Amino acid sequence: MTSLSFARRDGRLLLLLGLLVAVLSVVSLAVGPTEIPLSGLFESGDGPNAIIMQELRLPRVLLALCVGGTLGLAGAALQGLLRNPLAEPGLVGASSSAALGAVLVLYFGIYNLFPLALPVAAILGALAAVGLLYLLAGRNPGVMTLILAGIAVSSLAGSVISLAINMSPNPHSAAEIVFWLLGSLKDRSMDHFRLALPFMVAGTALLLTSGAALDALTLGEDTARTLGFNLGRVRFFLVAGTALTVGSGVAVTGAIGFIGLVVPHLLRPFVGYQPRRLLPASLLGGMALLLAADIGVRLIPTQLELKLGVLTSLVGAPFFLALVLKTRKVMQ
Amino acid sequence: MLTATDIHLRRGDNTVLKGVDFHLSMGEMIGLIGPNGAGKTSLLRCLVGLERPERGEIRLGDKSLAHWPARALASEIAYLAQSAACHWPMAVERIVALGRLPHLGSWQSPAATDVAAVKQAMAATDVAHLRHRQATALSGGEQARVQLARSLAVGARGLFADEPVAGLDPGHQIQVMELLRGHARSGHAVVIVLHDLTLAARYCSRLVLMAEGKVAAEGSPAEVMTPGNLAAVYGIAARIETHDTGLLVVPAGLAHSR
Repeated sequence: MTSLSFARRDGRLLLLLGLLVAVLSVVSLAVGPTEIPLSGLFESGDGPNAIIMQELRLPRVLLALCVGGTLGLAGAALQGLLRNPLAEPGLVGASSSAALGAVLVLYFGIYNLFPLALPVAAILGALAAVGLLYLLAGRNPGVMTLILAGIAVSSLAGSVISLAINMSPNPHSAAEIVFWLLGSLKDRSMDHFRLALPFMVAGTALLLTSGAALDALTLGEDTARTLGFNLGRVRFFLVAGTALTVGSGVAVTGAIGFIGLVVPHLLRPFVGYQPRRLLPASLLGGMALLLAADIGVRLIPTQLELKLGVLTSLVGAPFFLALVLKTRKVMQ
Repeated sequence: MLTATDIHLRRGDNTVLKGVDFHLSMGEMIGLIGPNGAGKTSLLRCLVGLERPERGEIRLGDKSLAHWPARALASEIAYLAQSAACHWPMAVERIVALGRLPHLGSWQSPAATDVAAVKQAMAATDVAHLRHRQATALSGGEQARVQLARSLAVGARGLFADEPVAGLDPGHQIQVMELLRGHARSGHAVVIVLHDLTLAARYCSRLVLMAEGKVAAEGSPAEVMTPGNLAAVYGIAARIETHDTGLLVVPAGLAHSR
């Protein structure tokens, strides 16, 4: 019965996903309006190749890895906590609440004085949303409660964001907020990456260490407790981990939806539906999907560059609908 | 092994346990019986540490239950919830292996002893042939046996099961009860909540009859299963016959006093 050991069985899947991430990272570095050799990454000095590679394309790839990976991971973790395949940071309102936090910092000009306020406000926004969801939907929410609570939290955050746009002093700053909200990895710098990284690492660690507890939770909260898990601490780790990763991601890239819904759903059959084994797979899967989407927005010929968040929503929303129809039959 | 003294528990405005004393020794199989709302499940939940009584003390070994670290307690006491189920369509052997979680670190793979415990629990509950099947696709009876296997795989000294035979056909009910009795006789302690009085009388070494949050009667099946006790607690007129396999309890109708 060596099949009980998950390390060996999942090794091949994780290796494949890792290879996919590596290939997509290289492709993402190579794609752009001008053709630039990859050697620009290692050039020193102020040559155009070095600047474009190191200051434009490298942060873009690094942020795709961080944001995509953590969105996939947070989706898998939330779905494990709520035992519901429809839970996703965007759908439960965490992304829009994080965006609200970030918009307020941008709107009041705090960002220029104190850049760290941007991720911190976004993280607090996400934290409030996941906490509120837990209060509204309870510990074992059905599909409908989850979606309704998500709608309530999202609408609340959305209306305050609309207020900020409505009240913005000039059309230019309103447009700036709107475009930022659409979600993109374009024109991000290494500073953005460095700003988000510590929060991402902390959040990822919190989420990854909760794997065994998520496995226990498949048997319900009571049984998980009698298996020795302190559920108060588990919930805190998962809520804080989601808020840290989603909040810091939204702070630097805007809201990018559906990665956390699609990735765990696609990978779940490959890990025997076991929540713990789904976590590392979803981390890599999220990286791959966001890299692919970010390559997509640069290759799809449109007059203005298609925003990343728009593309993921265009693909993700129909996927979500299909999933609702499927789970409605199973989970009612 | 475990002693509870003067347990009181409130739920909202209701006092669901009103001064319950309970004692469990190794090798015993105790059946908790009583009508709906008598406090059986509440007592069981207190005994496994899921609820903290507002008054009274529960001691496991030489320590108060509240002072046991969660992990250590989890390897001493296994709990099987009423109508337990798995939320994701995981393979049977994976679910049974979850019983080994109290013995493993966060990312630790199961060792040979864990694999052996899982295998033994699946064989004992007759689910070994289903080990690669998705649990959610199994029949209710098969799922119940998978959950029982999961609780046996813990390898705990005490097993506390809330209606483990509910929803099973008579053949599987007897199979599960015999398995639990064998488990107790092999030196473990078993406490089960039951509604079937004949099964309780036949397989349990001791019965605790509860009514309205208190212990109404306690002792061997013959001492507890008397027409007087059953009339007082359940309000039924029961015929109790001695059969070569044990007592046979046949509820014949409602007691006239009701």
